[in-house]
Amino acid sequence: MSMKEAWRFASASLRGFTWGAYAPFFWILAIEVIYLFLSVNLGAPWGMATAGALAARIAGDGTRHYPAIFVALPAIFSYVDAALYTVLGAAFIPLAITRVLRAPSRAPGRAPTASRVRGAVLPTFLAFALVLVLLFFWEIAIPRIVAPLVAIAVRLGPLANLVTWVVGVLVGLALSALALCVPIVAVREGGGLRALGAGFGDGFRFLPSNYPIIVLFSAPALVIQAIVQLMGGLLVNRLTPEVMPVLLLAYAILASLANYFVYSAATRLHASAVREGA
Amino acid sequence: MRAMAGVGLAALLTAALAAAGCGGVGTMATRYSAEKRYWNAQRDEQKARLAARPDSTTLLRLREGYRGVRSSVSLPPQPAASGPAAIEYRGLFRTLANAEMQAARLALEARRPDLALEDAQWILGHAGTDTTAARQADFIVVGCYRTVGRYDDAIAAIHEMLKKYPPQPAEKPGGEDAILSLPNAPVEIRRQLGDADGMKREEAAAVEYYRGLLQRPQPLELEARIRARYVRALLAQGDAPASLREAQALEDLVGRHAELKSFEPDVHYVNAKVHAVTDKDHTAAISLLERVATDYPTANVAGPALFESAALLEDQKKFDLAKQRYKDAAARYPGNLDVAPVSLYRQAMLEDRTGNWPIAKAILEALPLKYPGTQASAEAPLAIAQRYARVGDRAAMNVALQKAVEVYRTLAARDSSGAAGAVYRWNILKCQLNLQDWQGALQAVDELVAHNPGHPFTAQALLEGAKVAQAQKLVDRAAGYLQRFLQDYPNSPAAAKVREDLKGLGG
Repeated sequence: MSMKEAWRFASASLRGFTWGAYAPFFWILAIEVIYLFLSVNLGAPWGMATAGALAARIAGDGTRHYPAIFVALPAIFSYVDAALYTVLGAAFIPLAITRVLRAPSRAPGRAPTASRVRGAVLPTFLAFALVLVLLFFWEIAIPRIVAPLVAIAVRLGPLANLVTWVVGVLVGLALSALALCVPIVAVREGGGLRALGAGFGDGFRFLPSNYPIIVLFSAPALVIQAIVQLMGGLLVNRLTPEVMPVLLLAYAILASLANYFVYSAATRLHASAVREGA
Repeated sequence: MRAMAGVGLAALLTAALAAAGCGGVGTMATRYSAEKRYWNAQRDEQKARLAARPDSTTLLRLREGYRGVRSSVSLPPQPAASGPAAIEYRGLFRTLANAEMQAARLALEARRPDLALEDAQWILGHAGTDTTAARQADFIVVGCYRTVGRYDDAIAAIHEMLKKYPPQPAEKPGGEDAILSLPNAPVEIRRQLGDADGMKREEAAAVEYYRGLLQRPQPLELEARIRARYVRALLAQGDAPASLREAQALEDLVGRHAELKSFEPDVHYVNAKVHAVTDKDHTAAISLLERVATDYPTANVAGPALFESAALLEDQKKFDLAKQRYKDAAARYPGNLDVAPVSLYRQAMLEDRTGNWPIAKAILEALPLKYPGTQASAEAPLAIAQRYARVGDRAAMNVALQKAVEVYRTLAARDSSGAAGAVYRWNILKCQLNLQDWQGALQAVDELVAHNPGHPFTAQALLEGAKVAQAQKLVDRAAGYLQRFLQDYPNSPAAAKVREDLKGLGG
């Protein structure tokens, strides 16, 4: 698979956008929007009882105060985002994939949609959970291994932070790309733990094509993520704390669309490769 | 799948609504709203201060931001029992109290102590068992009384605070509860008012206060702090035998407990002070004080020790050594307002005395710029004029007096209604009288009456103003000053004479 091929499937996924296929991602986005809405309303008892309690559980009691919540919000939101995509995504992403593969699902001899989605939940959940564990260790490694290496090798001064962040994100995306094919394989070829191994195998196999697709579609969201993570404290203290949830909302929307287009393109690519292989 | 998402959302909202009913969460949410307003008020103030030096109108507008914190939320009834609800209530109250304290600070800066008093009284009215907030509010009340010239009320409030708030062990190592230094405040007020008898009474009250504290068991470190204060109070009172005895008791206490090692500078300092009071020859005291400054250069007492060694050297007429010590004290402790300005002033006096007038003049001219608001800055411009008067250079004296008036005007504008402002205006009056600028003198009297009513300098200024006005045949103005004197100082020993003078003017 060449870069040209990757671009072809990326374009196809853009052209083939349907609300029906995007809807599962939209539901996750909707919950994230509700969470952000609750976070900016800690002055109301219902906001404090929900988002405030969650923030205190994740980042300590200090986050129930103004403006401390907004400094901690990017980190808390990343946990919420990861939890939603791991738990709900285990069901919603296979559902979206079946809708992208709408025509083949009606083909005779194939299991009905609901049954294929149900079968894909467990391998998808395990794959996403495994990626989360890998990302967790990678996050621990960034400041201890990557940051000093970047500082020594690149000698960029203040830019070293940005370079470290870029390296951290690019490796993180590669780790996520490994699990990309698990729900696709589980939906197309039937679920079970067998799909987990086959999915990771395809993840490795299609990495050179899937990785540019992921970077391409994630780029807009990553720009906002960089601003939030590298300049969060500055934004809260110099501008206004409320800028943080606005940026996170923009990030959530862009990331939701990126996830949809990535799965849509990867599904088409995978289907095409399997057809050609056959 | 849509149904699944709907069920999840409904569960989330149900949990939120259930939890929202809890009292603790409600108080937390109210506190959060208050914190948000408080933060916005702070940011508005920062922006305003970055743009320009705020005038009183701006300061009062900024104050409204802080006051909005309290008016935007309703304080729930204080929970009777301790527990999470009580902790949340205290968190909310502290936020409101902090905002009120900021409002009081801005009111004082805008020369509206009446408004600051209102803010402090709101805190006192709602503090309940929160003695930390109540204490801070009481400190504001004392500051307000001092600013408006209600000195007796200020002293009464201080005595009330000493009864209400027992001193607490320091929160940080080496720190001291502000309450422990409070008994000195009435002494200082009486000193500033020139009330020698009152000063002695307050010194005795301070000794009594520390003695009373030592009659009750105290935590070890606090006991050492109280003893150090007690010895100094005894020394200020001039009770040498008792101060010697108590200095020994402090030394024994510190010697017995290794954890009190940080008190060693205090022990050596009070011992040196006791020697200075009890010994006829001050050589030992000077040596001890210099050792404190050398061995413990970062201790709180190091600066005062160096200054006092210089003062004792000056007493011994060792002017060159004394000059050097004063210079060292000002150079090593430039941020210590109790040491640096007065050291520079004394150095200038000795430079003049040893024939270095240009150096002395340069130091005296720099003092009001470096240390505005201090006693030394109030004395320095007049000291230059007095020196020219001493050497008989009348022309130079007049120039120095005119310059002094300008300096005092600038300083008074910065500290309009504070205690230092009264001193500056009083000095302007003295300069104008010496310059025989009668119009300027009467204007200085009017300024004192407007900004420092009730101050002893204002009483004196009204009498001086009446004399000047009468000499200038401004009978109505003279009568007005005397009437104002009787109105503001009805119990003054001079009141009977003033009534007679007023009758003489046909009042």
